[in-house]
Amino acid sequence: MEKAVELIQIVKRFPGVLANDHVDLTVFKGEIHSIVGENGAGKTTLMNQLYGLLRPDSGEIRIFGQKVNFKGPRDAIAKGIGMVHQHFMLVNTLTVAENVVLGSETTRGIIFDLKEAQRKVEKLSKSYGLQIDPTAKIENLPVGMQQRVEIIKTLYRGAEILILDEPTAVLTPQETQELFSILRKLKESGKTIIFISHKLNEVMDISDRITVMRQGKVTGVLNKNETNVKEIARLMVGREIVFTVQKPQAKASDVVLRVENLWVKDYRKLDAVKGVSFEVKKGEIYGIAGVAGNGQSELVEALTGLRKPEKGKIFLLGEDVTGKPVKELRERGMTHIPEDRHKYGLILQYPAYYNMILGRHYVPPFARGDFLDQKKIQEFTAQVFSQFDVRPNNIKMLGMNFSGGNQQKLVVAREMSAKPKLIVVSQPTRGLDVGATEFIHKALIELRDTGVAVLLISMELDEIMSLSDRIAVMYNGQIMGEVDPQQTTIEEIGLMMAGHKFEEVRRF
Amino acid sequence: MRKVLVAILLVAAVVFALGFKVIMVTDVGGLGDKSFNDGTWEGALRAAKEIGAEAQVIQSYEQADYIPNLTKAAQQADVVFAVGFMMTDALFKVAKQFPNTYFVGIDITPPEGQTLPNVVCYIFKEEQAGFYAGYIAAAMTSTGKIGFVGGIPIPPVERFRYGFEVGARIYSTLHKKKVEILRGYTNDFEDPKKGKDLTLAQYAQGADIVFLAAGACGNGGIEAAKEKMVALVGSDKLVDIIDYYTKNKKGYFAIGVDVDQDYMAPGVVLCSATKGISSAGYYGVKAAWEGTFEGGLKILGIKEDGAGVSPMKYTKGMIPNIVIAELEYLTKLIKDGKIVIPDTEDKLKAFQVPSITFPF
Amino acid sequence: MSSKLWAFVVPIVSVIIALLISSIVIVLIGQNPIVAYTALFRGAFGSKLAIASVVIKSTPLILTGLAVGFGFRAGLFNIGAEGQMVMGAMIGTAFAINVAWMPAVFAIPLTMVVGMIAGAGYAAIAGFLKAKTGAHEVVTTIMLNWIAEYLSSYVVTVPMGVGFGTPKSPEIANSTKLPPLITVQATELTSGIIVAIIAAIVIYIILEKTTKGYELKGTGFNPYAAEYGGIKISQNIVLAMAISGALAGLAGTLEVMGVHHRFLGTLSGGKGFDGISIALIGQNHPIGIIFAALLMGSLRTGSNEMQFAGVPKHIILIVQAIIIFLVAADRIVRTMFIRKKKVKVS
Repeated sequence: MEKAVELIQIVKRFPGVLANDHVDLTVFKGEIHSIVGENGAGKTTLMNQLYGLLRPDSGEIRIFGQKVNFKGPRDAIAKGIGMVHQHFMLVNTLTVAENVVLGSETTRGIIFDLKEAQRKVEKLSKSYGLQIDPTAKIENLPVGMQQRVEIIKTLYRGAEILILDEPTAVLTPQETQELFSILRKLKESGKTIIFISHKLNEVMDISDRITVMRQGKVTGVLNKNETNVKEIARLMVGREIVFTVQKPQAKASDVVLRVENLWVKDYRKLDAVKGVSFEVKKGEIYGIAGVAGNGQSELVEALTGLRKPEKGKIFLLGEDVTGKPVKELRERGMTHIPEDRHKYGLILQYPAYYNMILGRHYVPPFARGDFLDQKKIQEFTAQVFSQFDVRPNNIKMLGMNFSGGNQQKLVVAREMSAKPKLIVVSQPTRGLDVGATEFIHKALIELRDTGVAVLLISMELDEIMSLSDRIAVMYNGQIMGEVDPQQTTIEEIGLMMAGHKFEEVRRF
Repeated sequence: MRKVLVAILLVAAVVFALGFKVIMVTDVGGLGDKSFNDGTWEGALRAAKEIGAEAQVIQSYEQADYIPNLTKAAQQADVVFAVGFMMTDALFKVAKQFPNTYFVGIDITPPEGQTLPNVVCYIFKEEQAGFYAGYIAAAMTSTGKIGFVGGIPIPPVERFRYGFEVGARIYSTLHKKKVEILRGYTNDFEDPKKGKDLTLAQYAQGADIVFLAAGACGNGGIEAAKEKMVALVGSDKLVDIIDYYTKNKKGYFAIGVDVDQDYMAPGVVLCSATKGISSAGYYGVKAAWEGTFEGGLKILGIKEDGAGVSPMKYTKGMIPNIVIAELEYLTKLIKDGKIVIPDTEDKLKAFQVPSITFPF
Repeated sequence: MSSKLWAFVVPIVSVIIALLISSIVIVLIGQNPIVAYTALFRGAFGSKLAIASVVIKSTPLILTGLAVGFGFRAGLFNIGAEGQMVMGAMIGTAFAINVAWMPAVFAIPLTMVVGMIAGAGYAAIAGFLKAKTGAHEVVTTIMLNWIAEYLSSYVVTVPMGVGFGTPKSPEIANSTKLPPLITVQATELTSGIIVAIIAAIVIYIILEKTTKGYELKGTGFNPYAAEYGGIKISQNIVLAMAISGALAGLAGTLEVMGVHHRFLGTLSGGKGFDGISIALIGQNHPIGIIFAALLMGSLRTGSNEMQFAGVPKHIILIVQAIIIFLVAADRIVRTMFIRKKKVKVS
């Protein structure tokens, strides 16, 4: 088989980090080759070198057997390499065709020939089943379609080798399946595809071969047919990963949170939560499942004091706390791991030790009167850092400079170390790799076992199923039903997520 | 030997003259105000050239610059000009420190009880200049409404207004023409935009002639008049404006202030109410050079060439001869003290138009 | 390079580049830049009088710079320092005229407090409007500036106006005049500079050492996270505006107490707006702002001397503009640098 890409002993160093440590990678022509690894394993760095964005410190790159020395993406494109980034590089106000030809416009004389561009884009779209209208404006297209525009862009520039950097992170499951069928068509027509991901199920679905990376090194090259998710995960993390969470039986006791007929409006002033009632007890994890956008965010905001409910009551430890401000709720023992850590969870411009006291910055030992006690704050942060294994172990680093997983650990560590009585946890593992996910899951169980009431809201059904002691399913602002994870099936929950009431589901 | 002596004397005279230095410190309005900073500078420069002295101008950025700038000027110059009422305090503070330097204050009234032998202050009978503006405006208005746009309502500005109102009142009584006066202040002397806005507002209220007593703000008012006039006439040529006015007897006019501003928009600036700023500048230098310098306050009026009206170089054709003739006669009455133009609000209120019969 | 060192190097290099570029302009108008800059330097540092003038000019600039810089740190763009300065000066004067009976020990600090409260109250209007209605402070403070300007013109001509000529208030009571540190001829360098430096230190402590500072800065960086952390955003907006306004009000009051000894209609002379540039050059850091204000003060003082060398003072506006441009450009470069670093880590 012809080798499309050969990376030989690539070394790339950043200050303080060896991002790629003598990496070898071979990709055959016409295969879909996945590169998997945890956040920070060096996948993106490697691909940026292949695309000419970075230059290797040492090592060799060969494209179709020919040694190359890229000075920039232009050189890489000329050699038939195309890259679809995680964040799209499209001009929102221009049409598909205009975006595709941007930078290499078709011209008649000096006149831009839009018709010709549209014709070419249409042809590309048809031949790979992309089904895209060249005259549509980017801003009117859904994310999945925008991604296809990026793909057409690379094809238009004559790409033979396509690099897709975590392409499914932004897609719905259905869009993911559509993307995969496009990738298979591209493969059939002889294109080579490099697929970067850390979602192992997807990797197993689409790849021919898989290269696993860990801490800048290649830890394995596998044929899809001869491996399984467990093996890949072990190579990624360096140890066995337990996919099913081990947990002792919950010892649920007193009610900590009681919600009665809660109604909440969203920012458009439309009803988002419509008469929700439930209870969360001491020592249990109460999971709320549902497809995104069914009122979960508004529910969480109302519970945690960020949004005023329209009607209904919220009781914390028996006392009415409806509409109380965040500060008071925190003082009463409620903490909150928010779904959007950049927007709510962290002040990115603050160092880690300042982030670690957000919400408790005015109470001893962190404050003495009106003054911050820097020494106590730093001591506390250092201790939490080692307890939660936040990396790098530098408490003075700014929030923005931590990787996504470690930022989430910062938030989790802060909210858990505040000795809560109730912790509201929203999407705790979104965007995290297997290792970090496992860590956070374990921590939640441990917290539960110390007698904390945990309210878990997640779109990941697996997460809900494996962590929760009781599960409620939310659809269109209402709770469809409450089930015991031991006595239910994914199918039952799936039906409720699609809007069927528990009673109906049980009748089926 | 005698020749040598003469030569030495000549050199000494030249050196002495060269050593004689005039420095003018502007207020924050600065040069280019086409008003009293420029006027003083013109007069001072003229005098300095005549006597062969060196002249320099220092501009001030803000009020806190007045004292340091005057101090530095006093250290170097023989005559220091302080221009503008804003500099009153600074001038007297600094002048006290430099008793051997002559100071000339333009548009400055000495603070009560403060007269220094080395400081002469010139102020002007603005009300007399304003009188001309008011009389001509009242004679020329076709809408029966005329406007006054002042800067900050400080005494010199207000005196212009008193004269303007009295001038209009005299005309309206003598000729039985009803004339209404609009009044407004920009509260600023620097920003032409404010003058323009206020002038346009008065046009919108029906005025067709606006008197601009607002320093550099007034330049914007002139611009406003020009825009309105050009829109009406369809040309900015003087001939066309005169033609249009002769035919239709209407138009938009501005009246300039302080110095002859008629040239700024020929045909549109009807006339300018002038102060003898440049002669004050001139005499200040001359007096110091000739050793006739005398401290105190000097108020210059029509009699002393300290107040007047521009020659109306461009607009003479539009203003009826009879009006010019009447003004000549009234000027004589003012000079003779037979008419006293009020210089305070109270006097304005009490002013009664005397019975005047023109000898023609 | 460490960021602290960088914070010093950038403005200094900017000044040098700005002077070099401006020297081309000076050559173009037919003057000798070396002569001009010698005059500039002499005018700023060449005599006791020069140094005194620099300090006098810098004092209000430090305070308006602090006012704007403090606002920035709390996420607020206070363009209203100008109006707050005028209000502080005006109401401070109204108080100072009437307390001749009070001994200086009480009269001086009380006048300052009155001026600060006036500025704080005036700025708090904008803060309150933002907190309650979401009206952007840039818009409201600009509008408040005009109100202050016209109000002050009115006040000095009608209710508080005295004498002939200048529209001005009566002199403030002797007991409220700041004692001079140095007197050079008619120029008095008063103790206002000490007050300004103390204010900078106090602001530094508030921002870096207190829980309030933690909340204000946090709100400035990320109001969502601040709210999530139980910080009351609207309270903090009003408070931050009030502190910012108090500093601007103090700037105005000190001008009255130390320099003019009376209230004048055009007293601020744009110093409130200068605060924006100074905060930018000083990188919103209280100590940086002191240096930025001294820099601006010496350039302006020196520029008066430059006029004697035949170079118009407006050259200094060019220098100032280039410095601001370069400092701002450095920000842009650094932001890009940080973003690049983030890309690398992921």
